[in-house]
Amino acid sequence: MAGFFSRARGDSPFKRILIHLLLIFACLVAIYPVLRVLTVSLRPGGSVFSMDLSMIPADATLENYTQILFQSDFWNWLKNSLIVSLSTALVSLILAAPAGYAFSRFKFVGKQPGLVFLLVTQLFPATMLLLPLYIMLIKLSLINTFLGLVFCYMSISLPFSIWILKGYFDTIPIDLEEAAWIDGSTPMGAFFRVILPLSTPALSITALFSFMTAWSEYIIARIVLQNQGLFTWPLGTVTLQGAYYTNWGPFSAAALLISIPVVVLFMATSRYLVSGLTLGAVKG
Amino acid sequence: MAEVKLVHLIKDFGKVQILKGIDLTIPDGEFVVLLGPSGCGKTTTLRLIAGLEEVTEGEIFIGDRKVNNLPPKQRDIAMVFQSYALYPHMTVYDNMAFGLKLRRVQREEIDQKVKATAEMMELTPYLKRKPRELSGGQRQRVAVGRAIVRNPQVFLMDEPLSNLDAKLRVQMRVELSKLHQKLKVTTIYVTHDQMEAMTLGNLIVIMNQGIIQQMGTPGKVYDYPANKFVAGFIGSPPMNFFPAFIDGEEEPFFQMASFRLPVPAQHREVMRGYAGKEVAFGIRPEDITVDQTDSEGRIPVKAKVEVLEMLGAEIFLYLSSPEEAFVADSASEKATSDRYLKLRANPAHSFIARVDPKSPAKEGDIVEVRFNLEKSHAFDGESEEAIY
Amino acid sequence: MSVTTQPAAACAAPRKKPASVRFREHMRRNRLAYILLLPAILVIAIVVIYPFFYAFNLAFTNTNMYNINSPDKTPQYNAGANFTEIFSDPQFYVILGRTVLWTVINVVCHVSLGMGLAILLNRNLKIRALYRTLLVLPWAIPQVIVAMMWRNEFNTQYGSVNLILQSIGLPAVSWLTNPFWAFVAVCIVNIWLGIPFMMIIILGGLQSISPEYYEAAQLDGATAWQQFRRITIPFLKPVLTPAIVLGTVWTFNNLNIIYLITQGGPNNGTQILVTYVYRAAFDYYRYGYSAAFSVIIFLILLVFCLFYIRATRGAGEVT
Ligand SMILES: Nc1ncnc2c1ncn2[C@@H]1O[C@H](COP(=O)(O)OP(=O)(O)O)[C@@H](O)[C@H]1O
Ligand SMILES: [Mg+2]
Repeated sequence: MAGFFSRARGDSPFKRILIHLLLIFACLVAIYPVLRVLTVSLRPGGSVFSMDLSMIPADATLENYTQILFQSDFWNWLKNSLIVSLSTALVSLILAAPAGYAFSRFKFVGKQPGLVFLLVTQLFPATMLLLPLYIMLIKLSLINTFLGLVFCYMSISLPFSIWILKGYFDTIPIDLEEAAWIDGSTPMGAFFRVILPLSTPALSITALFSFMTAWSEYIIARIVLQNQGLFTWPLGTVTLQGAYYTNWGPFSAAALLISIPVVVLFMATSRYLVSGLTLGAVKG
Repeated sequence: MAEVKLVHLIKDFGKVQILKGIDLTIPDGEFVVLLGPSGCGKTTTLRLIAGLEEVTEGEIFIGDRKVNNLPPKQRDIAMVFQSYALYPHMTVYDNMAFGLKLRRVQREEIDQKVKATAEMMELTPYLKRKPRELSGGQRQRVAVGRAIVRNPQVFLMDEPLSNLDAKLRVQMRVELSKLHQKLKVTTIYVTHDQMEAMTLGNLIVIMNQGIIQQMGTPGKVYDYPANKFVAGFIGSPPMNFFPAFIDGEEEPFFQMASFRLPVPAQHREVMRGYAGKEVAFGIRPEDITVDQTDSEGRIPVKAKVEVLEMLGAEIFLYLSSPEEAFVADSASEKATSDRYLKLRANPAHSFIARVDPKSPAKEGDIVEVRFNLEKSHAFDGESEEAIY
Repeated sequence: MSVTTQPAAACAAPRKKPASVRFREHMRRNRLAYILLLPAILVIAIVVIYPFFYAFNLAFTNTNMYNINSPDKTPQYNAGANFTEIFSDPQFYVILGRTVLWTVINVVCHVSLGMGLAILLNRNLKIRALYRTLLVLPWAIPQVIVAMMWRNEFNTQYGSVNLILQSIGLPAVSWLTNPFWAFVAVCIVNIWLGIPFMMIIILGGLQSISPEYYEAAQLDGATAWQQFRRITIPFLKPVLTPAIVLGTVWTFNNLNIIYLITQGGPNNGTQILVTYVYRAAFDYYRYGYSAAFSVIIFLILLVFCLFYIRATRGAGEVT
């Protein structure tokens, strides 16, 4: 028992079983709602309001999936989401990488306040920037455009990306750049030829983070995009269900289709994301 | 290849002056070791030469170019970093080729040069590997290879061997020596390890607290240290120092706290000038003997063996001159002077002797030690400069 | 900040140089920094800094949808009337109280349950990776889907929550129509959602503690609880502190879950500050008022963070 909180070398069999039971229960709680979505998505249209609790309904059908894939705007939503998310990720990265490098390596006027400000943006309630941005977009006639939406997303992803990348660059020893300068490269050249290639993991994670932020975002998209044809998938999927929660089947099918790639991607990278987050945060 | 000249080099970090006026000329093709304790400014000096730090005051010449305001890439130097600073994302080949590529050397020429260097550094089998797939010694070789492949005018090496284990360090030391004999490129090598400096350098420059203390061949700095710092820094175990003052008119002697020793005949002239002044008497551990019989008529001094360190080929004796060993034979006026009282205030003094393993001394023994005064040193009590 | 050592980083020489020379030297050394920063700063100025100040400005006006673009009625500065209105509205204090309650409940549950799971996971189990993957799932699913999914499950008649309750003989609960139960429901969802983040952070922290500390403590006869208090907690503090600050801020500002599940209803019973202000801005178009409200939320969080950081600094760091 002495090692209960530590990495146990030899737990007693009873304790092992207890631990497994607890973990299995926790896993069930974690995945049960997801399994329910699967169940509901397999129900035929007529039996949506079923009180059945079984995992695979007796009359399972792929009807909802065909409806989503072939009779809805699903593909259009995906395309819209992809345009918005890729632009957000790409532009954030292109802007954040040099800025993060400057924050990591140079002393310039306003560096400390700048860093603090980047952190403080994390405290803004969504409306703090969204409302002014919304008014700006209206005045610039950018409402109902992807450009307008990407602008809004940049306000979240850019400060965060700079912070994460700065944290990563801080871990690269300056010797490497100095070696490159002596080898004959300019400071700018050292950044491009040594630092950036070395940072590919951090760059991918940062881009991925920006991508995911935009990809799953609903609250802002709902304000900026009112034209159905421009809907990203979160907007589309929510309309699928409608206000009266009648359309569970197609919604569930769409939700699953969208979630699977996102979840896989997330699982593959969560480890790095967390280390990036804590790295940035600890330094603050 | 080129001469490197530093003219009254000063470097401040904020309000702290780290280098306080370095004047140094390194002859073309020489292998110079910059030696000094940690934090004395060796790395800073090297980085100034490399152009990685900006000079506060003074001038740096490489060849006959003043390079103060040139960026590192225009100084035609190569540097081996303590951490090696190999590019982790490049193969050994690319690490070595990087500088050449940046200088837009023809592809075939790069290939030929890298391969030749790899051959010389015995790295040919590893050319396709990334640095993390190499051992410490191999990485070190790559770092050196990367420096020499460009055939620069000057090599700068900042403690390049300090990350290797003791055995490999000795081996690489020899290889670096050979390499220099082959290439004859002006090399500035920084280390805090005096053994390394003694074995490697044609010339040793000893630094302390941002000031050059002495420059000379290993033999010269060992036998004729310019001041007390150099004397204490070079040699292991270090030189023993005894606080003393000079007494005796015609035949001056060192008056120590508990014993006295005559000034060797050839130095009497200069020491007379120090009559009544404080000095430090210095003697290296190997110039102290504990033989019972003495053929050369040296004066015996009683000392207690506190610790005995057996090293196989030799023994280090940690000795203390016991307080009571001194029997005041003169109640002379000088004996009561302030200076004498000051010495007496701290009479017990420990020192080290390096003796033959056949010596019969045991821990706890009171032995008679004799000093080879011909090899002794004297340092000014105030300036700490060597008197002889 | 670590010492940067490079030609470009050396700070201006201290002695006897006129300001103009120092400025020129600074620019020569750091020109690259400004070049690298410029694009990002331009964009940040447009999408963050300008809106930030705009929000403060807006907070002192009576701007709304009807006067913002109309030629005859232009928005006016109203001398802090928005703030007066907010602070004199009893509803504000109710919602503030609920927000604090929501944040405390969530963060406490995230940390304690996350820590429990991390401790269970932090041992040599053969299928640890599988557990870990399954347990992280709630974090991986897009929040919109999570919210909609749970809204369905909380359906009084057909949702699985009630079906399960009934199957074990408990009465059905009208989750989303009763203010109290609706609040419970959104809390459940958000707790479910937030545990994985804390779990992963804490697991990372636990794995960085060398087992030797525990072995030494066991030799000294420390009980499991003492080991937890004296080794685990102090070592976790460096990761836990920022994680708790982040978690608190995110929960305090979490708009998605409540907005998508209850929209703050029924009867404003699940309204927290951010959902309230979002609706005021985009469902009731009260821009000036909402800006003032946003500023207040921001200031509350800022004060919290300053206090928290000072408090944890004062308590001394683990070395
Ligand atoms: N960038 C810097 N800023 C401030 N002080 C520095 C910097 N670099 C070195 N120093 C200080 O200068 C002194 C000499 O450093 P260094 O040249 O690295 O010594 P060495 O290489 O001889 O050990 C040290 O006291 C060190 O703290
Ligand atoms: Mg050094």
